[in-house]
Amino acid sequence: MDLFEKRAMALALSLVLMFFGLIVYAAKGLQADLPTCLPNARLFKNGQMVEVGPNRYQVDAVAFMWSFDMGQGNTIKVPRGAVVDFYVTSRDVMHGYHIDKTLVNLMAIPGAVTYARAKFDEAGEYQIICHEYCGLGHQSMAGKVIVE
Amino acid sequence: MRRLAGYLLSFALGCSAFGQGVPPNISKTLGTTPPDVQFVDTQGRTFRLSDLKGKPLILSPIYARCPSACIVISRSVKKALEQLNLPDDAYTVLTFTFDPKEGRGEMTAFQRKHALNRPNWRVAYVPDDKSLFDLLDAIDFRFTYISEQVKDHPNLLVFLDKEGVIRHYEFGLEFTPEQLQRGLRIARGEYTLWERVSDWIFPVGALGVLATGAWMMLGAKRRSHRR
Repeated sequence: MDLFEKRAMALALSLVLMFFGLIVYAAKGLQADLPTCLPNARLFKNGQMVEVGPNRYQVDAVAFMWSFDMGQGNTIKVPRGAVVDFYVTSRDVMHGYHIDKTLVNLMAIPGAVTYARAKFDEAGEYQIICHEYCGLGHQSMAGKVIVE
Repeated sequence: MRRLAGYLLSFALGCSAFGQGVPPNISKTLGTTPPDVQFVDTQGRTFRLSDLKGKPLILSPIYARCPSACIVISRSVKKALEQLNLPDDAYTVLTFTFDPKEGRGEMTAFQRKHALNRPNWRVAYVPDDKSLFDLLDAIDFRFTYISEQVKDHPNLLVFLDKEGVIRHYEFGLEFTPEQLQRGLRIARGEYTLWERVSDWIFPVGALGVLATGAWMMLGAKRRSHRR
């Protein structure tokens, strides 16, 4: 076997091992939830934020060209330590819904609802961006979670 | 006519299954012990989850104002347990509301309406909201707020063993005697061979893939040395 081939195979095997280790670490160490698509969920047309329990919130976010409707515009405010369930859908085309510094990384799909949960332990501003190209105004499609 | 009624009932059940909420991640919860939260039952008696230790426990999270699924779940569990005809000391059922806005009044009405009267069937609520959500987190039960009256939620039963450790989940709308029997058997620690080995299939498979890769690498190295 050619030396280059051997090195390529060794590298591939090492990468497989590394990614496998990372998956195990994400699941067990970080307790990361997989983003969930809810095919049976009720669709919603308007965004809202509801307090469902003590420091527990539900955000229904509707993405559209080129902003997010989360009931209070594209920005929500929650207290520190809040656990927030994000339900995301789209009114028009495919969008993305990524909250910086969290594991919330969802697709906003017309006709479907995606879901992720996040806990905000540190005060500050968390940027929400659309990370799926969605047209001319894509670069300005953003929102914010303000943790007080 | 009876067959038509059956079809209509199936259609209604199918419609009510629409919107089943977020499924729990049972790999995180199996083998863990939920917090020892305090409940109040429909007679006003206070008790803790640990008071129910000593025999398998079936947890049934519902909400009393539910127009469809929770009614079907509770009635089917009742019917299935009647068919199984197990002695009362073989298990306890704890039906509790996951809606923090519901209390003794709603749960009493629910219990009366659906005649959940077996002596080993507790119908209760958790008076402290934080404790309620701690318990829901422990069984990874996530409901979705639709309106004050309507919540989407997973349709499930959670089986705890006599030490209060989560051992099994059963999913569905209309629970059968076979499902309850399986859950109670697992809660008693009686596993089939398949149930014992199924958790190891993925790690063994992954190990096999890696071992095969390593073997191919070694084989290639040996062949190149021979040349």
